[in-house]
Amino acid sequence: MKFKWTVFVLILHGTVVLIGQTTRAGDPQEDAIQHLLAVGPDAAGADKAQKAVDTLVAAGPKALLAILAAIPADDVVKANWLRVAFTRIVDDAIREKKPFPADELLSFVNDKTKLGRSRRLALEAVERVTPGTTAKVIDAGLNDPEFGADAVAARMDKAAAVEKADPAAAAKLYREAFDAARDFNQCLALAQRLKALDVAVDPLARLGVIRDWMVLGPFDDPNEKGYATAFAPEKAIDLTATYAGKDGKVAWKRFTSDAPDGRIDLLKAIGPHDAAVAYAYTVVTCPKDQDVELRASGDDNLAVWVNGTKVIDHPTYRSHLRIDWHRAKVKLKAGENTILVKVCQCPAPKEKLPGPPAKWEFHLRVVDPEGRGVSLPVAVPAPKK
Amino acid sequence: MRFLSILFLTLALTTVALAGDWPQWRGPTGDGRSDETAFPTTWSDTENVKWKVPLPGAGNSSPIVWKDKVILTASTGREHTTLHVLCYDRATGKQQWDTTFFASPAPAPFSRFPPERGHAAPSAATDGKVVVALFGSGDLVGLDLDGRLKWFRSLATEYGPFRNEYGVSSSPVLHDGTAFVQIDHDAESYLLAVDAATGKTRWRTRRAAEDGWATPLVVDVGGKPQVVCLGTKKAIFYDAASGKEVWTLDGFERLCSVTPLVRDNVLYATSGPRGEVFAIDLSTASEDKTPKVLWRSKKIGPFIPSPVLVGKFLLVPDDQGTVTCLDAATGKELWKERAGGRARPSPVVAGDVVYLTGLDGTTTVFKAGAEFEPVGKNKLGEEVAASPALAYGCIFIRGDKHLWCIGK
Repeated sequence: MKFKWTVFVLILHGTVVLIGQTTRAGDPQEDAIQHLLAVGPDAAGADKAQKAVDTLVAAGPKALLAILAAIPADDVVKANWLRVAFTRIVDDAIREKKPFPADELLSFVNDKTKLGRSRRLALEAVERVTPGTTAKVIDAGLNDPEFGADAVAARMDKAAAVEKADPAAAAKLYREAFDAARDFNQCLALAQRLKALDVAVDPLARLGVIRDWMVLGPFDDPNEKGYATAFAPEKAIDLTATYAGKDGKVAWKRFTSDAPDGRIDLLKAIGPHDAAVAYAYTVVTCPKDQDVELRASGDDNLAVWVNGTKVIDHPTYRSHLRIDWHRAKVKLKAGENTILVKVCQCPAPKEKLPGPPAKWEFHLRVVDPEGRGVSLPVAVPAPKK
Repeated sequence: MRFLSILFLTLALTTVALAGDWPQWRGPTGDGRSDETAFPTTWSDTENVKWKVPLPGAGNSSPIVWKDKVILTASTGREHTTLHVLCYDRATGKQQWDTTFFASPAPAPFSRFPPERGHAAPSAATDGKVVVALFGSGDLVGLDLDGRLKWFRSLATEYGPFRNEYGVSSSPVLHDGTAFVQIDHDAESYLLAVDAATGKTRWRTRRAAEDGWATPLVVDVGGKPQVVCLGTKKAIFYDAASGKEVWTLDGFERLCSVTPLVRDNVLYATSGPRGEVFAIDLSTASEDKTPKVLWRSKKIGPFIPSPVLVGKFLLVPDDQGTVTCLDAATGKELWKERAGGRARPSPVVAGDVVYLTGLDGTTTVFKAGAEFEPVGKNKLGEEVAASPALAYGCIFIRGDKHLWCIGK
């Protein structure tokens, strides 16, 4: 008897599972999402995707959370087809006053494990039906990976509004924001505000900017071949050596940036040359093996070697300095790590063009995988006398 | 049979630009000219304003007009990661739709870039069947006229992020069902031809070019369309069907941002900044025979604004609001006039009336002839970096914060 019941339960379970699978496999909503996840480069799958969007729109607001959950982190084409379906459903629901899962969407917004851009999309939808939600989410989001920068900006606005009447309260707000900020501009702006209120902070250390370097140059680069030419520092670093430079002998010398953003002005460090090549060298010390990202930029071009391996290679002359423009994931080892930078300056134009005078500079910082600055002790070796 | 004729006629009418349309950057004929003439010549921020609507985001893209729709692009968010294609009712300014997208990931935070107005510098283009929009984030989209997505391409993912110091401003150009997209940047530059209906690549030709901002122009050479691209010291003509390079003309400056124009088989290509204007005869050119350069002007070329042709007068604006008038037949300088202030927008023309808008939002209206004949100056009180669109008797101006319809 017991055996028979067991068989019955197993058959029933199997039937339920089978029904469940049949339902999932034939679920138009799920199928539509799969069509949107099947789009690819060169507009592949776009025709089927158009129909899939219509299917999801017909399903209405009940499809919203499934769409959000399906948005991938690493494929903007797939993400956008899902976004389009999501937005059309929200538009329809608001226009036709359909029931709207605002609470569930808000829970999604507040779940930091979810994808940032999906959370932001959900927040935009909730804001449309419950105005004021965005301000609350941002106010609470100082350390939120998606809304953190917005929260810092909101704190800054709040602090600025009370700064005159209550400087201590403003300083507290600015400090809270500074301690949470990862954005380069925000850190600098906050440090400036705090300095005005007699609170000293070091934004460049917080941002992982390397200011201390040995510099060498100029080497001659009359026809823009200098970037491709391996001058002596690319073969071996010898801080005591002198080399034949553009206008005579050149030797390594120390330079520390005093620029507010920590850029190295080679016109100051080496001199007002054009058609020239410069090198900069430093050593950073890590307490342990560490995965970091190097963020750098140069004017004109830029090459960066870490421990002898080229990690950034941007050969284009006449580039401008854009902080964080070039990035490289690097594994630093425990102990000393060397960084070598090469920057060229193109020949001056025959005719003066409109605009500011030419610059010759670079900027380099180290951040952790989440984008927070890594302040590493810099031990610039002094050349032996 | 009669039914079929009517059907075909109806279909044709739905996809052919009407006289009043301004379907893409530089208008219906690609030279900043409208065939209409009855546009206002005086206005202010209150006078002759038919409507004015706030824009949800930033952008330098110029509005385009197709029948009842005014379409433009924008980007929003701290890092300009949300892209918008916006559509407004031409008669009322009421928003018809706003289709939004995630931007392709940027290689560096937007806040570190100098473009003041986000990723929406290129203007959209339409042929009445599809709206094609390009964004500086490296995203190319095709929508129907109701704002519904037809296809989405992340050129940044497919071919690498756009690496251009000042962002991308080259607008897509639609010709006979193909969208041509010129991407000149500090990585591998290319000219891309996309089937506008499906978004699929017809061909992609690599260009030996550095960063640039010019919009290509489709010209007819001996009955065959060719795509002219300016950039990095050259003008290169490509066969529109295959992408094959047909001719190259040297002598241009490294930075060529302006859009060339063609009239009566003569191509006027401006090299700048401080480059020459070239008048190039296309009538005698063939595949084996490079087109003849009729004349080269003095070094008057601007960095940003594109010239217009008014009758036999070629008007070349510079970046500071000075206009040089050249005899289109000889290149001889006829007059030079400080018409306005610092300029990003390109002038547009209706009849012999020229509208030159400055960055401060003041539009200088003048008649172009053997002499400069000022008509008036009209202030909007809002910064303007986009070029106006002339359509259906109204002037559509994209300001920093608003879209304006100047008209009655």
